[in-house]
Amino acid sequence: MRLKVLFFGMLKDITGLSAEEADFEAGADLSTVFARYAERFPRLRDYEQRATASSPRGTSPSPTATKWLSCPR
Amino acid sequence: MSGGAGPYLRQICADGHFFALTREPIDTEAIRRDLARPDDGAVVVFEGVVRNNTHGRPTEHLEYECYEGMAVEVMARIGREIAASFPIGRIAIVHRLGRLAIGETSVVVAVAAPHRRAAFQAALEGIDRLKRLVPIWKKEQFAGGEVWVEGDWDASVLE
Repeated sequence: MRLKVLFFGMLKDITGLSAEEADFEAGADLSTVFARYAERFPRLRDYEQRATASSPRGTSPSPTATKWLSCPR
Repeated sequence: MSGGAGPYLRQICADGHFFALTREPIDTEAIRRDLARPDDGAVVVFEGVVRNNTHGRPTEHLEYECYEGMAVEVMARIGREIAASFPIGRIAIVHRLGRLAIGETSVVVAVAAPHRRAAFQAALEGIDRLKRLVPIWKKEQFAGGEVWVEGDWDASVLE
């Protein structure tokens, strides 16, 4: 499945990304998504416990799901 | 009604309540003026402003960013829940994004109600819930560095 991953706060600074689309196996959970990015950006591992993810509420099913990472203020 | 208009990036107007995000200075007086109705006897306006220090360390400015679509939806949900929980008329919650200087207003929670106690209680509940539930990130710029400030955000909002 194709996900659009959004980065905010510290995680945006670490990755230099604000958003990126990527393919994952069907049913991939946050830990899978996080591990993929932690491999590219090892500093992310320092923030794994504080990362969160969600699909936005109230949106109709779409080929592109959205997940977002990072703990707000 | 949802979308952006005027100074607002995104806004939701529902049942007289108003929730919005903006990158412009917040016009608190306009919010207050639009909120009150003839049967209201109290309007409480809370303004969060940029403080010049954090735990004594001088702050130069703050930057706010958020997941806009989700943030305004959560703000509206908070407002609707508060309006259902307190005997108030209307509530407005507006948050500013981008770079803010010391003394500028970052957030406004305004409540109009027939009586003052409910207005005070609802406004306090509004800012407390906003800080706990709305996905907004704050970067503090200080002399010689910057840091993302983490607060008491409650991830259960995602459940």
